[in-house]
Amino acid sequence: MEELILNRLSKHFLVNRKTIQVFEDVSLSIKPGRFMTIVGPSGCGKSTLLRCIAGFEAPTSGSILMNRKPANKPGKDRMVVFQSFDQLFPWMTVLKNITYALRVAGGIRELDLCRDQAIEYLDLVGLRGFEDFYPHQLSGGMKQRVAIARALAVKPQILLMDEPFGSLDALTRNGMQRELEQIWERTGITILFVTHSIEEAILLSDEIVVFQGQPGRIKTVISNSLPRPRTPDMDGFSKLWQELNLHMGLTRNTEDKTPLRRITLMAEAEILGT
Amino acid sequence: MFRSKRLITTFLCITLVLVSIFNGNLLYASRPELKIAGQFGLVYAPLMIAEKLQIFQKHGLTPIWKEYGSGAAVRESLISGDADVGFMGIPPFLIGWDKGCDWKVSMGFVVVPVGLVTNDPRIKSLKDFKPADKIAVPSPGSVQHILLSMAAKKELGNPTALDQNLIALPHPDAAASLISKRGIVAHFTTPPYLFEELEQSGFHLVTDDVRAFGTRFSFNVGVVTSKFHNRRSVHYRAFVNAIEESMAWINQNTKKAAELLAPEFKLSPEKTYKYMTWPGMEYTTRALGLMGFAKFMKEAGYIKKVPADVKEIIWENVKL
Amino acid sequence: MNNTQSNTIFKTIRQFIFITILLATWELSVRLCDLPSLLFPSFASVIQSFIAQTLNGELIHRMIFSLYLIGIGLSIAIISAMIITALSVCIRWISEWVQVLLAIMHPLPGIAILPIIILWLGTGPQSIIAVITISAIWPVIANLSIGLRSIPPTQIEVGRNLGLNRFKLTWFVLLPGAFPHILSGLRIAWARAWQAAVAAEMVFGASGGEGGLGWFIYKKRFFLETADVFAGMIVIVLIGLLIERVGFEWIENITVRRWGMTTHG
Repeated sequence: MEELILNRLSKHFLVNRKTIQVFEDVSLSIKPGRFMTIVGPSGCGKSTLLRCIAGFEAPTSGSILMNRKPANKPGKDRMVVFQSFDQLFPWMTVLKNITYALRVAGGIRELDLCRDQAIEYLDLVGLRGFEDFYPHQLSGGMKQRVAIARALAVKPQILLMDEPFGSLDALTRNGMQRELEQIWERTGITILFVTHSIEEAILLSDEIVVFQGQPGRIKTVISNSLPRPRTPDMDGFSKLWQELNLHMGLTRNTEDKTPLRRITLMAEAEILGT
Repeated sequence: MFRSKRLITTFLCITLVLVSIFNGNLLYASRPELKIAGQFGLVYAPLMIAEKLQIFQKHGLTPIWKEYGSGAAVRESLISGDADVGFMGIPPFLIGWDKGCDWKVSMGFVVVPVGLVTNDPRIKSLKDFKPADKIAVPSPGSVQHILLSMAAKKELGNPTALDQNLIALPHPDAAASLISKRGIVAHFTTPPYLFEELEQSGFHLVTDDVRAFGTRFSFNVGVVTSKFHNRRSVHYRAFVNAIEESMAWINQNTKKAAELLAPEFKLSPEKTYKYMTWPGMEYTTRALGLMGFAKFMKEAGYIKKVPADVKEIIWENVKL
Repeated sequence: MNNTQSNTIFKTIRQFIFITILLATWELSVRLCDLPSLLFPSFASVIQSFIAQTLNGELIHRMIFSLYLIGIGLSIAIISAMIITALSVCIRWISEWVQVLLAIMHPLPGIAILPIIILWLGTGPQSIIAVITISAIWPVIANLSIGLRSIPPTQIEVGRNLGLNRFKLTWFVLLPGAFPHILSGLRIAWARAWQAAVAAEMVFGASGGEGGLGWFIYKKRFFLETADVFAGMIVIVLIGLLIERVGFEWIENITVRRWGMTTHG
């Protein structure tokens, strides 16, 4: 029944011969077609968790199961949309970015078919007509749309989104959230979304995983049944917001853990190569 | 204030420039400096002895030495006015004269043996050179190149027959290549390289200056521009006298000269003496072979005209 | 687009006018000041000997030979740079060695090691090729590794996400991603190779039958054919400009500039 199962997942890094626990004992499962968000403060290890699921990093212990099969390598069944704007290949046009993904990961050989499908997905993200643009000619929001279209075109079972709107301005971000919701509804894809914005988590997801601490643990999982489309001024929104804030705020001011967190951040930065 | 300061500066600059120009012209005749351009080697022993014994100073000249890596560089320094007198082979001198350089020979400067040495026992004469065999000469248009050309004409009937085999290498590099048997099979060269190469076992002469040219000739000549000769005639005489004195001293005190020069060549005094007195070495200011080279070079196309009379290319003092 | 195009045209026209003025000044000063033609031949006589030497085939022959040597030397440099870079990506200690070698050799002009090369390889074309290779390989290696390091890690992860194997990842993601740096490396390599080729021939002159443009100039210098020396220099400048302005500029326009990946300007 469950599409993705995380079983007692832990991850630590070795930095200067010191072991840094990033997250610990994470168990989660997502059912097909659900929109799940992991929300937590920066540095709590939620991004690393997503990277483990994507297969970019190996968990120290525990297992990841996709459809009951272990997933420990990157795979096109788990496509990732990143936060950074440079995730598109700059030497390919918008169309080529998608057709290339279709060819190598979708296994489609016929050029016409590739093209038709790519245009279909560009249509889905509202970028019809931008086929022959190069990424540097697009705005940040448009780049993220192309990234979403490319990820979807490969027809993954689950879409892993690592703060995809984190670098956008507030206005663009709101628009993108609404569109992502529509895309999700239209395609029926399973989405695991990482954000540090409580508002974004409430607006988008069915289930909200509160992730916090050093090392990061699942504090609680809250299911969100507010009717869609959601807006911040709707009934129940602020109640949920307060509840989430409470869960997250409780550990926020534990100052004695700050140095450790900085080390974790450094470790994370090193692994990411930034 | 500011303005007048600038005016003064400008004025000073202009004065300075004008003074330096006039200075150059007015004082040119009276300065005792003699800028001498040459190369390094046994051939230049008279110049080196003159320096060691302060002979130029005795004749009222202050020599300024300029050492170059090739005859062409010596020639260029004369053309550009960097040197008053320069020592070079007859062919580079004639090429310059042919191209309109306003200069003449002031003296001959050392007769030396020149020879084509090979490291390949197979090569007995010029006919034995195959197209891939490289023959090193110091540079195109050098004495050695022209001698090779003369020999090629005599033995093979065509002065440019071996031009495709030529490679231009400075003497030390060519000697190293020849001895290590890398790249070249023959080297047209002068002492001390000639002597050192011939001492290697299996190395032998293919041809030499006398066979190629017919007689002995001045390996180098002292070239003096008309400007220097005409406007500083006193210094010109002094220069010629100084070199003659130096040569006479070498000829009378060869052993001592060898001792003085040995450290410069990084050879033992005995070896230096041996090289300086090698058969065929002669320190003389007679200018030999000028017309022979001119006629051949015209024939072979290296120059376009031949002096109608040797007086066209020598100053009045030169003994032939 | 249109604006930049007309800007380039104006720039070209301005440059053209500047060059014309320069050449006219040259010719006039030679004629009016009566400079000795040995030091400073008139522009007309340079053009004359340029045409004469082109028509008799000598310049073209020399040029082709120089380009032939550079072609071999550059190809060896590029291929070995790729192999060395690939090895140092895979094996850590090789990468450390290469970094050290790079620091030592990169600042050294290839021509400076010519005496050693002559000792080892003799004086034939192989020595010139060696000097070209050594001059050109370091900028290629340096830029290749900078290029590889400059690729955003997300792009590599996208590639892995799409299931690319090592070879495909290298060919379709790493090489195009590093291309702007590769291109500037090639530009430097070309310029250095061109300089090395001409300079090497002018140091030891190559052999009569198989010399390039450097040998041409070298030989003409010894016969005091100053106008021919200038003609040889003109060919060197023209080829340099042609490759730089037409060749590399064109490649840059259809790749790096179109992709918005320019590393400079």
